[in-house]
Amino acid sequence: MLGKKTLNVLIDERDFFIPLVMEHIYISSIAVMISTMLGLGLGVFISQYKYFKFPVLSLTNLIYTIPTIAMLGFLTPMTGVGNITAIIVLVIYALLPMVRNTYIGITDISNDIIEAANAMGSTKFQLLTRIKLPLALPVILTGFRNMVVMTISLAGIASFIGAGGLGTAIYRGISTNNVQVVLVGSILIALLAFISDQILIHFLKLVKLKKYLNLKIKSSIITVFIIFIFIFNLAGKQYDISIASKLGSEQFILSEILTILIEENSDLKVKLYKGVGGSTAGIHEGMIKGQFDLYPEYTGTAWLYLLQKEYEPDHDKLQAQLEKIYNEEYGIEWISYYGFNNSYALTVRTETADKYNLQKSSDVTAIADELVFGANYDYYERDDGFNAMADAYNLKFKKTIDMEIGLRYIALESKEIDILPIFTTDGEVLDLDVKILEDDKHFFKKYMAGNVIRKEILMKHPELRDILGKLNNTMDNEEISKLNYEVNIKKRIDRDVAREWLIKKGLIEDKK
Amino acid sequence: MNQCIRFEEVTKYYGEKKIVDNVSLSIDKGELVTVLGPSGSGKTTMLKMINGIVQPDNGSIYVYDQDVAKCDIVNLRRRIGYVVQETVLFPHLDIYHNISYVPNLIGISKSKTKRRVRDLVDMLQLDKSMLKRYCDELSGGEKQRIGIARALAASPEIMLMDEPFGALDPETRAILQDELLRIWKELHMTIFFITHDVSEAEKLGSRILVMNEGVLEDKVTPVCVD
Repeated sequence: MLGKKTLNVLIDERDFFIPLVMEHIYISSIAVMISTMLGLGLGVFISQYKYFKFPVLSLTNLIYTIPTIAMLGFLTPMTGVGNITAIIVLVIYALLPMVRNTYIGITDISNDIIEAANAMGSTKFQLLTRIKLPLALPVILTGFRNMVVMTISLAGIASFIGAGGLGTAIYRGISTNNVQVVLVGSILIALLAFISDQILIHFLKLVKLKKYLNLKIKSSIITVFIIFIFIFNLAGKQYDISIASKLGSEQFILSEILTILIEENSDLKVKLYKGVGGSTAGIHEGMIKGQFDLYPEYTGTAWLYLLQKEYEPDHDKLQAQLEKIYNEEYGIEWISYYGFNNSYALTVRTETADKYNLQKSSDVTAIADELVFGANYDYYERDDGFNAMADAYNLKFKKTIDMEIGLRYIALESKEIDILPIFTTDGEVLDLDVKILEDDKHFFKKYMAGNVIRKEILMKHPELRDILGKLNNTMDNEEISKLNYEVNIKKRIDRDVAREWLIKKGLIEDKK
Repeated sequence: MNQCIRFEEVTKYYGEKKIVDNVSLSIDKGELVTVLGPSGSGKTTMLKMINGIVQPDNGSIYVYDQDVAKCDIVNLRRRIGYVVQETVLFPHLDIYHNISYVPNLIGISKSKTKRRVRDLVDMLQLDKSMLKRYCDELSGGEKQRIGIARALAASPEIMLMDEPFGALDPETRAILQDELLRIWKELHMTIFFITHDVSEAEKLGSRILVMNEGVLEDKVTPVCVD
């Protein structure tokens, strides 16, 4: 059952997976090419100048033991997010097998052979290219083979720092809780590694049969190289605008909406970095550096978290100041607002609402002592959490419970709790028979979703102003909840959900 | 005037041990000098000093009046053929590319090299079909012939041979000895030939030297055995 379902996901979503496979091959091949050249060079160097052997091998060994996640952590502040950092990380890890095997391959050649070649009048360079490297080739290729397989597998983590490749599928699958997508992504990575390994085993056999002097092999190496370059060009094609997104299905949907909307309404080529690591702060950094041009952000997040400002209850005022600061300090413009507010709202079962005639949050005050309140542990700890809320609405509940965030809707359904704060854009709410109470005292901070864009790119492509302006007030809380529901609960691909919504809204043409 | 190789008071130590002790020697062009001596007597070290693989601690070696320590050693080596026992053929190259190794280093044209290899194959009575094979498919005698062909490929004026026939069976050895004599006469080369086999030294040498514990003991002109 699992197998068939997985296969269906692969077939149905091939338009999603095929570019990822290409990108995966592209990132891996670039890393493989660089580390081959660098590793060979270093290996040859330390075999000639043995003085450097110990420091170079120790260093590559040491680097090899650094956990990948830590390596990404070190590098992203320096080299930013995206493919380049991913390739750097892959190259760093790939160095050890290349350097070590090149060194061992060369130093294992019998002294008699080296002496004979010397006695015949080989220069140092001729000795290296005509004797040492060819004789070391089987050992070098064994290291190369390990390195290629490792690089392809490791490239799966590239998406954690905003690079592409099949890791994107795994990452997205995890964050939208979609096991099938995770599975397909993993299987494709394994398959790529396996196929490369088989090709290299075959090649190694040819080498061991000493057929590698044949022109055929020389030309096949050239062919492989040309294919690499072809893929390089294919995957590395130029783009006009780069869009980033934070982690989570809502972010993925919004960024897909932006991508499709721009691509269908202009000739601009879009590069989408989905689920960028370091999320909010990382993307903001990237925007300032010019790495990203456009991404969906929330007013509250920008104000409280990025600018570290005191909360301003008057949202219009907050928005005006926010836009001003962004404009003047960062050269970034808030170009459109979707209209929905990703915030908290107190929620009860419909029967509870009917029983006590609850419409607004302040209606709860009078009957709070009959209700059990539930929230995740964190909510009781935060400054703007439970205590502040209870003060604002003067709430004294019968009982308060803290629980796992994933269990709160189940607890509400099973009547273990009666009232809880929900995220206003959660898709899960749509499956429940609940009443969301209006925040009439404006206690919950507002997080209005909008799009921020670098002014530079806006000047370069002024048509973007109209295109992105179309998104103003197109999506209310219920609508984004529905889209989240499609992705999170129904396990649909965010791109399809985004396209459907754009068609429904008449923002793009329905090509089917 | 016809001097080809000259040792001037050459001494070489390996660690504390004096392996070559104050040797002076002059070899004329066209001589086939055989060097006899037990193992460890310093004869291989002598040979390796001629093409600069080993440097003397004292004294100098001259080849064509050029000081080996000071001349362009790579160029000199290309003009000196080098054959050792259990001839080290390059395992990653087929026989053709083994024989043409030095011409390829020098950059002699492909057609010229091809002709040269063909001539050598005839001269050493090798089988042409062998050229595409690799050394691990060959017998000891075949390897040794190819080793000689490889040493001759760039038409050297000097050949250094270190017990080249030591590991061969008597029959093959006799054949190769005859061939070497024929080639030597044909090409008028200077050959420095190391052996520990007295009869081989006598059969081949136009002059026989004896090394013992680093000292050149004796200079003998061969007696005709026939």
